[in-house]
Amino acid sequence: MNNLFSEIFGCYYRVVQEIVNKAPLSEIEVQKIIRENGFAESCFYILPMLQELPFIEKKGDKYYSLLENKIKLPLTNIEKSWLKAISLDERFSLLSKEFDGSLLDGISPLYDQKFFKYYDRYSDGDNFSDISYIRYFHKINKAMDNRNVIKVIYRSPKNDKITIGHYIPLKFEFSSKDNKFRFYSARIRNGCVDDYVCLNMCRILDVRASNENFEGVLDLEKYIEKFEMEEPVIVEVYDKRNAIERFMVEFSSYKKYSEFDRLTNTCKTKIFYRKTEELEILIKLLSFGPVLRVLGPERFLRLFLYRVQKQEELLEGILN
Amino acid sequence: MSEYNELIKNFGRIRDYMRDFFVFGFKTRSDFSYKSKRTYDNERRRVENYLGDFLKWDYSGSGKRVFLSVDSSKITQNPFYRAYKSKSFTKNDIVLHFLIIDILTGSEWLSLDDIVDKVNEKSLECFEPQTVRNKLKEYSGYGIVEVKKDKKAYFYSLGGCFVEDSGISSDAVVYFSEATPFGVIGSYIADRMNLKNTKFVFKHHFIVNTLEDNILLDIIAAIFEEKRVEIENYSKRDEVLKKLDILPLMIYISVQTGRRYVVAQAPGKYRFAVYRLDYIKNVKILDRDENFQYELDSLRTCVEAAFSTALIKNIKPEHFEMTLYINEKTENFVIKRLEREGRGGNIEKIDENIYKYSVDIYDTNELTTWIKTFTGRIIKLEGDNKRVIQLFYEDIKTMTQMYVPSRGEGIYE
Repeated sequence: MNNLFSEIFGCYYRVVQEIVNKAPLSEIEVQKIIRENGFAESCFYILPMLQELPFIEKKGDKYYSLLENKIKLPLTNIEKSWLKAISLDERFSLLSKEFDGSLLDGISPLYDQKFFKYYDRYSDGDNFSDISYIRYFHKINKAMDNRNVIKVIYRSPKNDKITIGHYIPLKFEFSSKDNKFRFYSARIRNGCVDDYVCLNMCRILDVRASNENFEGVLDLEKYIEKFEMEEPVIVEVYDKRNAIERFMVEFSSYKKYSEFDRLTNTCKTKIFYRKTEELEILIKLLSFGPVLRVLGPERFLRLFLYRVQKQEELLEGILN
Repeated sequence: MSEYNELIKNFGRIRDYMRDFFVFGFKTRSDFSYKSKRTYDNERRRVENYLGDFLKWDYSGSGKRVFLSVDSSKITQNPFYRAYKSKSFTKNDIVLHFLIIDILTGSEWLSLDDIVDKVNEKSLECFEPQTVRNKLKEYSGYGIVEVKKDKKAYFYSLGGCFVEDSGISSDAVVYFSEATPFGVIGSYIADRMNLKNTKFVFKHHFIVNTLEDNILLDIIAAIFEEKRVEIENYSKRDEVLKKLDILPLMIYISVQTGRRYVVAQAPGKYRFAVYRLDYIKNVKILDRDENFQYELDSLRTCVEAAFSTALIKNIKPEHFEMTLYINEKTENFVIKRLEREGRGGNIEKIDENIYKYSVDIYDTNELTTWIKTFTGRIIKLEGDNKRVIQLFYEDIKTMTQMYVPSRGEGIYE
């Protein structure tokens, strides 16, 4: 019975399970559980439902469970199959060291990686099976959990220069397109946060763990926000060569705001982005050719125009 | 109000709405013509209810529009997973669920009669043995309950595999919930473990793909068993749903455009056909096809000579060459781009700062989007497919007229 959409995974069952396992609970506590695990309007539906359940009793302001045991659901077949599938993924050993595979003996994986072809994924992805890569990943992950300072020897992507620095790893970033892990971290100099950086896992030459903890304030979000461009890129997409649909799907991972003009059958979209994504967006927009037009902001338009003019010059003899 | 309930019976009901709100974001109530206005209002309210803060609305000239505006690299969990947790159920379903789990917890094997007696005792209701048996059968299908037969009687016990016993790390559950197909299952496990993602962010993350995972699940099951499927496929060109009998062989995923396809051998076709998963509305698994392995092997040879989804067999591939100007001192990253994005093409330095990319593929047309990403560097294109090359030159001409005032209606000086 493989179905992703089932009430046994639903938030109502989860709410009721939380209630019976934590009972006795006051009405306010029950409402809190519903708010945390349910949908925006769930209180309106779940509270009356609780009155009808024979294994929950309300006396005064308190909800009591009439069940004899704590409710703990065993893993379903589909969950076991999913766990089996991820346990066979080449990235699994980066993330789970204590996994007891024997528990899933005889379980078929939900999918086999060989069924999937990621046909436009970049070919220089990370080697997740590399022993050193795995070791560094574990050290960084542990330091992330404990807020420890680590020493990283790193080959810079710009000029292959070797750098040595002290960092507190804060978050991993994974890109499916690049098939790479990077990690955000705070760079420490003289006991203080000097800057925040994003390092490529595959460029690490060594990681030395330490027990040194950092107690100061870390604000990665603020650092990332610094790169958010105030002015979005504005483009007009024309109803040609299925461009609107293609554009909308391709840019769906960006925050965007779109308006459709029925008179001209064009779509005007603002794409919000970070400075670090500018070149990628420029290239993506160029790939649409004349089925869209970049309207602004001026600085971005200049970058776009430069490419178009340069192309015209290069093809001068051919285009005429 | 009386007809509205926040839970739903069929996920397909809201799938298209969520996709349209997220992907397009500019449609108003009148654009959702495939259902009645009232249905639209109910489904919009449900999606709003599930996705909360992610859903925004405003008024455009043609009416109120609802849209999901999300920077996918900022979210900690795919918001669409919440919609998967909205399946409706009956009172009997939930009562039996909790009573059966409670009764079986800590018990050895129990007979149906024992379970029915205890259920009725605890619920103060009179459940028919058949009703309880059906629920036990359903749960045995899920793997929650184990069943054994002794002589003529069936005995039941609770499944013995709990997530805590597996030693799976929180990190693995949280990461793979976002980074693999069927990640919503990881989110169910994360719910059990009360996990929140505080450690991973995901770039180039097409969160909308999860809405097709139920379709994908059936197709993957068919591939495992080498079976044909009947799909209800929406044809964008004809704007109709068509039933097609196909043999699914592989899933093609574009990590750049966010599209996912099933690649199949379809009857009467000379090439492998690809069908977008988001256009498939239903899947019915049919019989095993003896040709599966032969077709798969044949497809694999095609995949080697394809740039993306044009998987033609039994024709000679087309040759294509692109000559580029790349400043070797300052633009080494462009050479790196050719290497990592060129999908098997050959890269050759033919002069100082001049490089040639060449490839043999089934359909040069597939390259056009990628070629344009090198706009500003292309010296010439050559190859068997003159039409595609000419179209590229025409496009550059049009773009020049669009942007450069002296060449046409240009908007910039």
